Amino acid sequence: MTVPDRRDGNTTKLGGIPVVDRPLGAGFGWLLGAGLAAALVFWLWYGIATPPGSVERYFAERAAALDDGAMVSEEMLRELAGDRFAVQSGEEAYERSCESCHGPAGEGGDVGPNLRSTEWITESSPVEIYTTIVEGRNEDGMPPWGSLGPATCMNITAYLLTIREERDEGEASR
Amino acid sequence: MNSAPLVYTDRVARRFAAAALVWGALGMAAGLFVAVQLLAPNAQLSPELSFARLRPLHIHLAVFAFAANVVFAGVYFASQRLLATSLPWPRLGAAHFWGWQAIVALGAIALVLGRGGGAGDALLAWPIELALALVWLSFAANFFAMVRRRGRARLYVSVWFFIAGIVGVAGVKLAGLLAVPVGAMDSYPVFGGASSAVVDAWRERGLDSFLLTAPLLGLMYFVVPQAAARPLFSHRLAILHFWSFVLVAGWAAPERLLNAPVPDWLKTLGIAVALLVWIPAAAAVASGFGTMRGAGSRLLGDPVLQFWAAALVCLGLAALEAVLLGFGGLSLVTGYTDWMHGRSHLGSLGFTGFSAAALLYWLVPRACGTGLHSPAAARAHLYLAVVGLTLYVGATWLAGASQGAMLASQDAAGGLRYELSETIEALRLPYLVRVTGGGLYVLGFVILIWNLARTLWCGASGERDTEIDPADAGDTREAGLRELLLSPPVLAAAVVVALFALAERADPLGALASAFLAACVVTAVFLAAARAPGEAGFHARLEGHAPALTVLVAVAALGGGIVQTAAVSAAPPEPPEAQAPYTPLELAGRDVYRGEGCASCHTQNVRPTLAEVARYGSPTLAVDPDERPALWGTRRVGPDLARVGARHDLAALHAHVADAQPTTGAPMPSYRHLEDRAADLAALPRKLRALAALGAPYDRDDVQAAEEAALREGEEIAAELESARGASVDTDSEMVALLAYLRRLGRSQATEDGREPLPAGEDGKDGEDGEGARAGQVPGSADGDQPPDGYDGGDLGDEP
Ligand code: HEC
Repeated sequence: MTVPDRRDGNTTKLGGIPVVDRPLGAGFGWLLGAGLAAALVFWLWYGIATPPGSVERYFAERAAALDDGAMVSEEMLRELAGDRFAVQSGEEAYERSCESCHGPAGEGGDVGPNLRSTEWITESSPVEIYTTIVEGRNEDGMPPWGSLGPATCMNITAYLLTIREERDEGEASR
Repeated sequence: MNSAPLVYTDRVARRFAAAALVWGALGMAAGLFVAVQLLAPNAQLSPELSFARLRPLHIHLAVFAFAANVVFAGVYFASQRLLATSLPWPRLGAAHFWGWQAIVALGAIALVLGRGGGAGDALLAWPIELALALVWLSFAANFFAMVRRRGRARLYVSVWFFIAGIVGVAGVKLAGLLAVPVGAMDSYPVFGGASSAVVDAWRERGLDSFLLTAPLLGLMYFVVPQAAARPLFSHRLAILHFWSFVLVAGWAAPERLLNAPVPDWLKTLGIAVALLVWIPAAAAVASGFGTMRGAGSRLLGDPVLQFWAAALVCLGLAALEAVLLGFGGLSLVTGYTDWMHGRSHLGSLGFTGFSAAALLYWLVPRACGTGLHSPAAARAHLYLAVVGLTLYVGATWLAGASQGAMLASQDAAGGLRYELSETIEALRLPYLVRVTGGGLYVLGFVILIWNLARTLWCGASGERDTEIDPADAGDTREAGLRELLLSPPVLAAAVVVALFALAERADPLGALASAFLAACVVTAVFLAAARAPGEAGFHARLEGHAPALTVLVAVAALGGGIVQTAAVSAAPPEPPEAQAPYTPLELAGRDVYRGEGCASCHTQNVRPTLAEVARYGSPTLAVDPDERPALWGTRRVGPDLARVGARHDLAALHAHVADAQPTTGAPMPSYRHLEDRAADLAALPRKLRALAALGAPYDRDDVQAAEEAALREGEEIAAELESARGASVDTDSEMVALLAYLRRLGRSQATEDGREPLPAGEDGKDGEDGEGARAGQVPGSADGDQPPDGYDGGDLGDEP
């Protein structure tokens, strides 16, 4: 039943089915080699550079985003401080996460400093406040709260901006 | 030399084919219904027919009822001819047939009743799994008896693939059985946390490869040369195909874990292996099309060849897609979305479905000694199926990619651009297209059923004697073991094992690296040793020695999973802080979550990307090793639940579970009926004892007081629901248990006190609009939700 074909070379029957002995050809060999090499290279590369989806990579990305300031701006945060909803949810988040150290209304507690009238808070720009919330201050025992997510940290910043002592406009926008 | 006339027993094959038709119709109907439910969540006739129950049922029917029956039909039919022997034990074959159908039916009923295995897909309750494994062994017994009594010296490539399938599925079933039973239908897996995820990934990948792919590839090598009346394109290519297939199938499971909190080295390995997936696929495509080449007019007219060509195209596409996603970055966007669903259906409806159709169109007429009832109808089926599949996969890929992109989209300030509900809204059109495509595909399948039923009906069912060509029978002496042992590939393998044993002392990465590289080297040596089919090269000798071949296949197919699981179990990722074990009630709730299949729609894993963290809270770093099994899921129809207890208080959780869709219209079915079902609290002492035996920190008192403790916690929850929602819920109902479990998710369990519920109304869905509403979303925040280790300021780089 089989149509003979000269190109087929030697044909044997295995399991009752005719089988051609055809070499794979150099092209296929190279392709195969290149494929294996590519996999190996990626393996070694990611072994050093941490694979996508790695938590390490995420930490680096987040740090870069914060460094760029690409994620928040002064105007944005100041605008947010005028947004009732943002401030309210910032206050709620404050109550959950910050109150235990900084007191119910930012007046300071056993652990955390006052957040209404100390020099630091009145002198800092909104982005500085935001960055401190996100990154924490290791040396002073303030933990980083970046895990709350940027939105929450921004809302908390907005809330803090509304409770800090009044100052001149000029000073506030340095 | 054996030249007596042979009788091929095709009755068993015919029965399996008929059963496949019936089950296939049921499985596809279930699939279509499930797809409709995503469009209309209310299309749920009873709690038993809800999405989360039917989706596992659909998978179960498609895999074990349809595909497996097709495979059995094909293997029984082809093996007798390829091995030139008759079926050794036809009665065992009949027992296999009835046993398998009975168990598949039992499994289906158990799934609908919410008594699945609850870990990943395609796992049944342990007694059913056990029975399934035993019946599988009866199949293996008949098959290997044929191999032993064969009338031909050397095994043809189809038989290698059958061996891989049988050994591989046996391994998968065994891995599924590594569990401690705690009741007639319940069990906890021996592996927990990350190890359980590796085992589950390997099982799922193994079923894909060894049940849904390998036997059908073997059948392709059997049918296509005959249908095309052409010799097999190249024996060497077949060797390359086979060994690369088995190795990749055995090692590629971590490719499914790129999104999961497993150690980085495992992800790296997954990426490396995913980049090799194209090799067996390319070899399959080249073999198939190379053999069809020159068949010209036959190819144009024969639905068998056409279906097989379409199947090969799907196989190739799926491999390209796997390589693309293997790079990892992309799978962070497409992971957990409909994309993965399109991917699995390209494999199942595409490769498996098309080649199953090709096989049935070829086999049923021959097993009945007649012609196909209507070749024209078969061609109509082909067109419908191809159009249907294209629509289906296209729509799901589009849906997945666009939803993934929307969910990942952030504005310049890091705020999220889209709510989940907005992205769900955008899925309606693709879902509609998907249902249409699925409908066309099913319509085609109905034509197949009609066509083949007519063929089966008309066909004379008598067994025919077949005289076998004595020139073909050859010598049945198996090659000497000694020759085999001293051959280069086996020596290379021995060196590899030695290297591996040494490297294991170093670190898992080194061990895995050497093991896998070595495996590649062995393949290369195999290839080098392959000679012309007529000559007595190493591979030719191996083909003549079935036991040696089987052992090598087992090592290649199962080695990867064993090595990876061992490496992860030896050094599992540690959660940042030691967690208190689940309270008894929480454990009962977790089992409700497993049984109801909530993981069909919900993941419990916040992946480490900026957008995802903004949505769901800090990334999941590691899963407690006492999670048995890890419930991180594979698909997100709804939101991630890893930190849901921190987002919602009890009242809000109850509202979501009891009546989600009336309030939000989202495709989450109502689970109010759980209030009327009593949780199985009496089983808790047994469960705690089993978990304690596996290493969870429960002591004797905990075990004894389990039931009371659960009731006490239940009372507290019921009281709280009463006061917050005015809902009166029984203290021992499944609802209360489930809520106990849900409220725990995402809170630090390091201490017993951080348990007060959070104030309601913090989920940002309070009806505000504009910037405020978006910014008001508070992702994963709770008192107990401490920033994990490695999260200290030092990681954020130096301040400018
Ligand atoms: C058909 C898919 C589906 C199934 C099955 C399902 N859910 Fe959901 N679930 C959803 C969707 C979609 C949402 C989003 C609803 C919304 O935004 O209001 C959701 C939301 C939720 C929420 C609220 C989460 C949040 O962050 O707002 C909880 C809690 C929840 N589901 C629990 C469960 C539990 C428990 C089960 C199993 C008993 C389950 N779900 C089964 C689809 C599903």
